[in-house]
Amino acid sequence: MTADWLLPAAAFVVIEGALGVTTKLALRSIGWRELLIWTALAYAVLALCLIAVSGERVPLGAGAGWAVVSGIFASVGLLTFFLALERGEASKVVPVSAAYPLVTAVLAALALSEEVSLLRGLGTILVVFGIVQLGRD
Amino acid sequence: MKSEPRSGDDEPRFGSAAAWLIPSLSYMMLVGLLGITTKLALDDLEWPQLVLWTSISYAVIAISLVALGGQRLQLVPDARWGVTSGGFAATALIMLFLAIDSGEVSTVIPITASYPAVTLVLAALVLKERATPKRILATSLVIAGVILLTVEG
Repeated sequence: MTADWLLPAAAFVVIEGALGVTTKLALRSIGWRELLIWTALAYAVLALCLIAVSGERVPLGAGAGWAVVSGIFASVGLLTFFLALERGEASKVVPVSAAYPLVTAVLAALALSEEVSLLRGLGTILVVFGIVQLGRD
Repeated sequence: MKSEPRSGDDEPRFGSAAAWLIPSLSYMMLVGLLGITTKLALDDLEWPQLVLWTSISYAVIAISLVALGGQRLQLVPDARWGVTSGGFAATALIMLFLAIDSGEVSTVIPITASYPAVTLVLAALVLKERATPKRILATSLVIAGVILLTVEG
């Protein structure tokens, strides 16, 4: 039996992979600011659906502070992604942008005291080498 | 201030790797930080609540762009790609949360890290970008490295 997680995970891979291409196509005709507004509208529709269907509410208090910081990182991060795609090819920008687990691994080791294993060290080397090669291509 | 639309070419506007590499690395840093702050937020919140906060942040940024820069939405024919991209970004987030919700993070995240391969193929087919052996190898190295970084959860 197919695992429950496989279908949404596969959908994520295809949709996220296609996102780099549709963003590049969009940036041929509209600017990154306008694209950010369209994305905000899509998220607003999503949020309204969550509120309407499951009765979600915006919580305050513990955790909300980190949620606000996460939201800011997500939206400013998307802005830089649009800037990169406006200036470079999708097949170079997307792989470099996808290397963010490298930053998470380093920060998790520094801030959360998570283990730095041999596998993670090897992964770091591969990611950095791949980014350097894409920068030189 | 209104942003200038691209003319349709795919060549880097500033003639150097830095033009796209700096914002790409900035994105990498910000989303890397996002992994930490999201984990801290999810200690107290459920993921749908995090989606609401993320939506609010996007709304604030969008309203600021409208208020400060006078940015307006143009319903030009190719605005459909902007709508599509916005829909894809929001849908991808939901798919990721659904996958993590029903599977183990240590299994789901390494698999989802393979999406640049989809971009590489679609960029060659749709945008006619060059899929050079060097680019394919470099993308494979990044994907393999990310899988190693995330496989232990």
